[in-house]
Amino acid sequence: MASKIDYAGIVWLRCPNCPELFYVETSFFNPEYKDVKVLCPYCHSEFFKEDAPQMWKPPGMA
Amino acid sequence: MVSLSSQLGVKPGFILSPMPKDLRSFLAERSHSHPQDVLHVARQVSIRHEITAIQHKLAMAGKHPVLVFDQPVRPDGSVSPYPVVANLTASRQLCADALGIHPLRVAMEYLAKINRRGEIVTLESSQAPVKEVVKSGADLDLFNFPAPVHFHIDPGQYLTASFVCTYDPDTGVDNSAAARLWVKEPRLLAINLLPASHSNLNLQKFWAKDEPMPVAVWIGHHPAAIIGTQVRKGYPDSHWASMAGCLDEPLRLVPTETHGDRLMVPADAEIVIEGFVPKGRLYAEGPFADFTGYAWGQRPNPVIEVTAVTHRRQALFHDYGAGLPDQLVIGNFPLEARIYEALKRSFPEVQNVHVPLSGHRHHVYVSIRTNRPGIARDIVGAALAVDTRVKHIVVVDDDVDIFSDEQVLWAIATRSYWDNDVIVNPAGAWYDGTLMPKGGIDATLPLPLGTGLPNFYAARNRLPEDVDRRIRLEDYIDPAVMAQLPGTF
Repeated sequence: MASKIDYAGIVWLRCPNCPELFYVETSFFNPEYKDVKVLCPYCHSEFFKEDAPQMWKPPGMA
Repeated sequence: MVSLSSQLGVKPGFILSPMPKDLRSFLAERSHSHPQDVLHVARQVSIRHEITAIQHKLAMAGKHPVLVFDQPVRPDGSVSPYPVVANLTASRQLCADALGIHPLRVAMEYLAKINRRGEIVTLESSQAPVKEVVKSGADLDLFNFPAPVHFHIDPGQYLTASFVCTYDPDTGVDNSAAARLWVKEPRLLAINLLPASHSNLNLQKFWAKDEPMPVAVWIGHHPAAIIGTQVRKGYPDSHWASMAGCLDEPLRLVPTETHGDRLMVPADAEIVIEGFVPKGRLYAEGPFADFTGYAWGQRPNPVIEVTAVTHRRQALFHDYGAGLPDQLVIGNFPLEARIYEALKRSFPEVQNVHVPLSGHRHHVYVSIRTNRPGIARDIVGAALAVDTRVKHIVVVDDDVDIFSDEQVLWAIATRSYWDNDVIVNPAGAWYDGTLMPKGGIDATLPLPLGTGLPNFYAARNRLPEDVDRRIRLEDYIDPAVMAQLPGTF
């Protein structure tokens, strides 16, 4: 059974260029989107999610 | 300071026009018939959060006038020549009036409208109001339009009352669907396409052929046309006839500049944006405040490379307040109609359906009158199957007013027993392509043991009918005093 955290459907990231935390949809982690950069909504920098200094995924996410 | 009376009602720019129906004719007619429903904000208001702030604060106060911002200020400090119209569809009464239906009988009367396929006529470009101004190439800058930045985390200016026209490359059948669009660059929009949307089905077909998808986006029309577009059709099926059915007059279309008659747009729209969705060009789109009342996380989405823009002179820019009533009401109407239609086929006991604003399209209230056991539970399952956005169904008896959240909650409090009356589907389909537990509550009274036998439930508090008819508050309390009396909170 999924938890409330899983149903939120988001992954939290920390931007490497500013100190802000933001989230993206879990769909961003589908393999077909591996080459699409995420966008920090605060400083508008774009970067690959692997380059985020911190990341928090929901427990049920592979 | 602008006096309130000068803010309300008719402005010189809005001239009562003959047919056809469009956004301007609606604003003019409504300003005359209900001056209190159309509020002009003459002061300069920034498109960065301020327009949404005014709309949001009015909604919090329970006020839902149509708002016309006469002087929207762009991020560079300049005043846009295009007024912003917001809250156009925030009132259930106003939307029902626009359609010529009763606000408490939307489920059945809107259904009749959209099922009556209206006439479509095609205009030459020279006859189409939306072609008064045609721009392409270097003349084209989407930032000229006063697309607002809505809530705190939105990454930029968004088109929200934007209807995306595409077509199925196999059949040529067109589709017109609301979608949010982020203005990323002067000639580039990011578009949010949900996986199960018909627009996305068309896109995947074009991309499977290694072709970009032709697209046109229209903004601004009579609310009846807009509500007619919101109906979810089979695939592929055009929305134009339903729009005409809701308008009660022929819908006027015109070929696009870029795609010709392969892709038509409403001739009486305010603004049209044309372009292509190239294969494989994906960007992070969002986060964006959406109808749920939350800021959805960003997701990889395609873009529209814009080739042309056409619009009326002094075009009105229509905006939905994301997650606010003007975005919700117009989506709730077709939802009520579709659920009512689906249920009524199998359950003639269904009296009415309401999708309340409070549930942000996830809640549905159904009223029934039945003497068959088990019907409420079956209705929960059937209603959940109609639309992937629906999450919770509450079934009540028809003595409960389903247009009152308070009465529905009272029915849940007093008529449901959760060892039996909560129905759960642990893994239903959710509109974003994931799974979602869904369910419903049977909040109906127990049935009598047999025909003519009493109901096994305590009597509801009610006044004697003659007293209820005779006692009128205005005979006992001065209306001026009445207006000052405290509420419950």
